[in-house]
Amino acid sequence: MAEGIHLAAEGVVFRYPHAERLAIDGVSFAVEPGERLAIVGPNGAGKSTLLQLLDGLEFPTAGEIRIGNTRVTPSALRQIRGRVGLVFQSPDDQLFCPTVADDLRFGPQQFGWPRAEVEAAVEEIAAQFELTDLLPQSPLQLSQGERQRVALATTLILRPEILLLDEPTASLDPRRRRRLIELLGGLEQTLIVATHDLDLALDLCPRCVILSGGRVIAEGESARLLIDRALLEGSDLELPLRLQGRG
Amino acid sequence: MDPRIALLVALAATAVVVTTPQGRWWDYALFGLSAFAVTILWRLSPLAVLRRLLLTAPVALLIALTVPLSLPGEEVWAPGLGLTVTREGLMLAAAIVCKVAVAALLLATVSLAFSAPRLLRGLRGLGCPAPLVLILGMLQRQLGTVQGEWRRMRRAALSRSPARRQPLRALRVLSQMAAVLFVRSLDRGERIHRAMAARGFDGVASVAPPPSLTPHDFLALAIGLVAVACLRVTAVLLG
Repeated sequence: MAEGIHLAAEGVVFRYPHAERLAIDGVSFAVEPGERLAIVGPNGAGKSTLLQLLDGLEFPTAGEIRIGNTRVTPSALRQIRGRVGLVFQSPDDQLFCPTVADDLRFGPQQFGWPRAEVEAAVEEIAAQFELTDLLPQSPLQLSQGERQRVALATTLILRPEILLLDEPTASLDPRRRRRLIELLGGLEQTLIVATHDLDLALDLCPRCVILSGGRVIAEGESARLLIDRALLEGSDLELPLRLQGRG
Repeated sequence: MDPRIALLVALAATAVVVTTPQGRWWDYALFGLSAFAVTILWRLSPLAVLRRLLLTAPVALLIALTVPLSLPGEEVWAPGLGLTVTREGLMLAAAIVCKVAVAALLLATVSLAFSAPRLLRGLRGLGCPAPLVLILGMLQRQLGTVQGEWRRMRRAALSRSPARRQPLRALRVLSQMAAVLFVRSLDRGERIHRAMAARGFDGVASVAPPPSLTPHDFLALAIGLVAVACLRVTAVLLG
């Protein structure tokens, strides 16, 4: 792998069992350490599937994915999941424990952290995400914005080098969306954000990959690609809201 | 109080109730009143206790309907079809229903006095296997989610329904919704498993051990067990 590449997908092909068409069809891209990359595309483009492949929840039918020098294979899963964190689209899927504190503890306990270290990490991440008062509560009692914050915290508590986010702003109101973007913007991790919110992609990610029908249609600077009306319309996308109405 | 202490005392009390011989009606009343006194002492809502008790009503009803018919003895009533209600059967059914009611009251008291997460941690502390505690915790969490989903589906159905509906049509819609909810729950289960795997779950659940019991907890346990023993002795003396 080339020097300085943090994550790379090379000719990745994936088909779900019993599916007729490929969900991912020959996708290649690379991400450098600390880079923020948006994967944009319409519904059904394969964005969520691609993230699951990057986290080793599925494995390519052909091609390969590497995290640093480690190939994503079933035997390397423990190592991969310690380095890559995935925040799912729906917090209701991600938060499955009786309390917020239990959900935060889940990952570190699975990785066998000592108890004192787990509790210290829970306290620290709760303070960072303003969740301290919510720790004894059930995730069911939280607002959508709070659930989204908890979901992010349950992943970040494991201190992943690469953070994968699946439609992170899908259920947030404008104010909470803005706060989440500020929060994500302050993270040091390598970020890969799958979204059809092109404004989010423009705000957060200097580079983007446009995915359509499981294929990479274009790759490059967000500021350049996401203002190309013809390219976007050809991929079933529209100009970011803030650019609509301009000549 | 540590939930482990409450669980242990409740378990001991249940064992005493269950092993009380048949026909000791005053003993059952004493145990029931004592359990009721605990609900007052812990300031539990009587309505909430009653609601939990009603969960056991189908079991009690089944016993009340079937046991009197299944035991040979002195005939009290012959409803026909070759069935006979016997005095012995009625006595046994009444004794079982009393025991079930007292045991359910004890369970309702403990489950209302402690939050589900604390009870789960208590179970783990008492040696309940970690995977079982994890499953119970997830079940408790997911029941809430499924309940919410059912409520949303019902609202969606009602919003597109006329104010008065035919019962048969309503039943059909409800059964369709239940089927959809089942499929959605399966799908959600799959997504949750992925979320667990993404955070390092490899089939082996790691649950933190509970904190050690304090001298105060041991004192509470001793008081609880002595109280249960006293009840048993009082019942024997009364008998």
